[in-house]
Amino acid sequence: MEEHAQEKVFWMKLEKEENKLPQKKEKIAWICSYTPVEIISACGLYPYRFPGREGTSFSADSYLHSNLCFFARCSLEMVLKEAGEGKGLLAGMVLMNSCISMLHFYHALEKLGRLPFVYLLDLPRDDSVEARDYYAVILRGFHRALSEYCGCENIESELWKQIYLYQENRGKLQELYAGRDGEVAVNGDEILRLIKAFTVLSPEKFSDFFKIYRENILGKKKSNLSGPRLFITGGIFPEGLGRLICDLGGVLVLDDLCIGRRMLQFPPVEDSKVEADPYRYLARIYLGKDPCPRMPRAYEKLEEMEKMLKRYHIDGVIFYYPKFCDPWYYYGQLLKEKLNNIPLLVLEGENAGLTGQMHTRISAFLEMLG
Amino acid sequence: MLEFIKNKIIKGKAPAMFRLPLVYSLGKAMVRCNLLKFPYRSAAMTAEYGLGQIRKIFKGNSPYVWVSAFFPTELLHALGIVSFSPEVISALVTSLGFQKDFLEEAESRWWSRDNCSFHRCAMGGLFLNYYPVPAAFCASSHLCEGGVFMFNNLARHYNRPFILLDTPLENNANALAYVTRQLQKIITRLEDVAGTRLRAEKLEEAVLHTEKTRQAMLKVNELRRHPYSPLSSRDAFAYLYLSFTGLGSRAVPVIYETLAAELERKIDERRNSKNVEPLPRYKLLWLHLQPFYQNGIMDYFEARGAKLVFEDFNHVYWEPGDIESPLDYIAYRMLSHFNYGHIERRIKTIKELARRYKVDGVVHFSHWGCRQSNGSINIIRRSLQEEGLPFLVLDGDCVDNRNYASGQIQTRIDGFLEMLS
Ligand code: SF4
Ligand code: SF4
Repeated sequence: MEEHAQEKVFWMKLEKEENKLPQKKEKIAWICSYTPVEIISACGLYPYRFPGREGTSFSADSYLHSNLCFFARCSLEMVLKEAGEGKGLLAGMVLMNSCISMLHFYHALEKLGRLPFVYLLDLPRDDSVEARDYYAVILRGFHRALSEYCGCENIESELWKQIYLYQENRGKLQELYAGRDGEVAVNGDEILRLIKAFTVLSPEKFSDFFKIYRENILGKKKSNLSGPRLFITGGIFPEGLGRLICDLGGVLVLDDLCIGRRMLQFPPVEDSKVEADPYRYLARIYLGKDPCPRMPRAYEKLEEMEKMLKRYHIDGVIFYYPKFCDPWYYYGQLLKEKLNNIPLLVLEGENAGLTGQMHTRISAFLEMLG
Repeated sequence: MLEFIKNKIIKGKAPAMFRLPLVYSLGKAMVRCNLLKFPYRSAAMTAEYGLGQIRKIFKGNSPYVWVSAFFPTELLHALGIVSFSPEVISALVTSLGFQKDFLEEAESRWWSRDNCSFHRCAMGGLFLNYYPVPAAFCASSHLCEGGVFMFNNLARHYNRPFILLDTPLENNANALAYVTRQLQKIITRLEDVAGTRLRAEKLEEAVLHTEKTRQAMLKVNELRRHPYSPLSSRDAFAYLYLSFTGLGSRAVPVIYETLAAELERKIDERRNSKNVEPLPRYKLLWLHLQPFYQNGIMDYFEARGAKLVFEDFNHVYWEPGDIESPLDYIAYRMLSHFNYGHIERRIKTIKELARRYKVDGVVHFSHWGCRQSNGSINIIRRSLQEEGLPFLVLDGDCVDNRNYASGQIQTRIDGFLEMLS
């Protein structure tokens, strides 16, 4: 009972801290898991993952075509709303050229001119030497532009400091994924929740919270979860979908999500291989991280997918894709083709919310898995 | 003839028939003997060229690959690899009226109507064995993201190499270096496909052909500015195949030169004719592609006194480069595409074309499923409106005619032309 109360207090405190953030004017919003947040932090600004997973796209539809994913449209809507209400609480936004929807979203933001700083980083689709060289120049240019915008000095030592801080935090979160091929005490939704905190809090703040979590909550978890063991993959899904799956009795053992494990899966650090130039280092680790389906490399993993799922004793796979999202759509097609022996539930999201239909289909799926 | 082929398709016998090189030899002969009619000699030459390429594919003596629009085909021509453009083939299949079976085949394998129908149609044809499985799938990430994904999927499905040219957004020294280095690697992979090494002089020759094509296209485009130029967008779309797969080929500059000569002659004839032809009431610029099934949209414009004088896809978007450094030339060409990168590039080009062709308005055919061309359409609309350029968006699909409603489109055209008057 006491355990429970402690957990409750922790999550409440975390939420309170996160809610303070929207009041900070130094926020630089970002969306894609490839965003080099270290550079934003090194400029003394708050990298803040933009929650475009909510709401509708009523006004944004007069800028972005309706055959773009709801996520891009809802994100624009949120910017319009905030700027419209005169809050002006974003210092800027950094987007990646990660897909065609994001590119158009950038065009709209830039044309609208509601944010003082809007920047687009061109992201290669490969992690070859050529791609890294190209991307290192892009990253340097971004740091220069952001430093000029905020009037700070472009200091490489500060950038290294942030690189190490983020690395450390990623490592901590990655620990939570260890040993999940056996019994599972922490449901995946809880890990996703912590990853969310990692994407909105400053690295120092997150580190403090994680320490409390590890000592007071994680260390005291005893009971192993029972229920169908699930793997979840796909595009950015509506807030609450992970919770819903767990509430309906599923155990989220593993994920391949850019709001989840893909935020953490960077190449291992080998000190001897660390480049002297921080941009080259960042280029290597970001392009070498676990790829999203925008990268052709992501498809290689599909060949090994069934084997990996067997190792984790996965009973079923949930795949979510937002309507009009080509990267995930095409990936989903091959996923279906490659998964022959593991049940798969495909959910299509037409808009940013959870739907009754999703509820019904997940329940039926879990029931089927027994 | 067409009905005969259609019946064959419906009966499911066509794959075998279409794989016969003889069919294409016959087609070429029919074109050459004027048994198939074309409005221009150069259009007949284009058909002959296309049939020749397809014949090679089915003959099976030359390696053949699928290429996405804007892949650097100079490399392929230099290596003797035959290229097949799925988008163009979908347009062709659609103009023959066969697309339904192809689309349904792709849809039965999960692809939905929200994906580009050019891609669905192309995949459907491959799944139904209408075309042989290529030796590789070669895409560039220009403009069309769906194309990259489709090629990647098919490559994995058929266990063939996927060769990607990752095209940066900007056109600067860093981007040029990135493209050039990728081209070097791609050459090695294509050499494996071709089973031969690339000879430097062959690549230089291919780039020279591209440069000659550029110059000939410029001539054509200049002639199209003339009030008596007979070439409208409807006919001009037939030549798109050349710029999609023909850059680097010896035949292509000759075709454009022929077209230029034909236009020059026709303009002269019209100028000197005693029967003065009325000039169109409105001149319009067409953006993106047109529907390829029977639709009557262009006829309707013409019947209402409006002529589509130019289309952005035939715009020559790259400046002359150094042909002595073929890879730099290609990289520069690739990065210059007006429809790629920042939206301002596209808007600037539309405005320039509107001025150059003195148009009264701009029409965009919004092909459902094409996120790249439609995504920022409202931003384009606002920009053109600021310049006082009337803009009409026609929503539809270039390949999939299952939802085509001519009445709605005509009403929109009527409203637009009324506004211009
Ligand atoms: S990857 Fe998909 S969901 Fe994400 S922004 Fe792009 S199109 Fe939208
Ligand atoms: S219409 Fe658009 S999506 Fe379709 S092939 Fe062309 S560029 Fe790609």
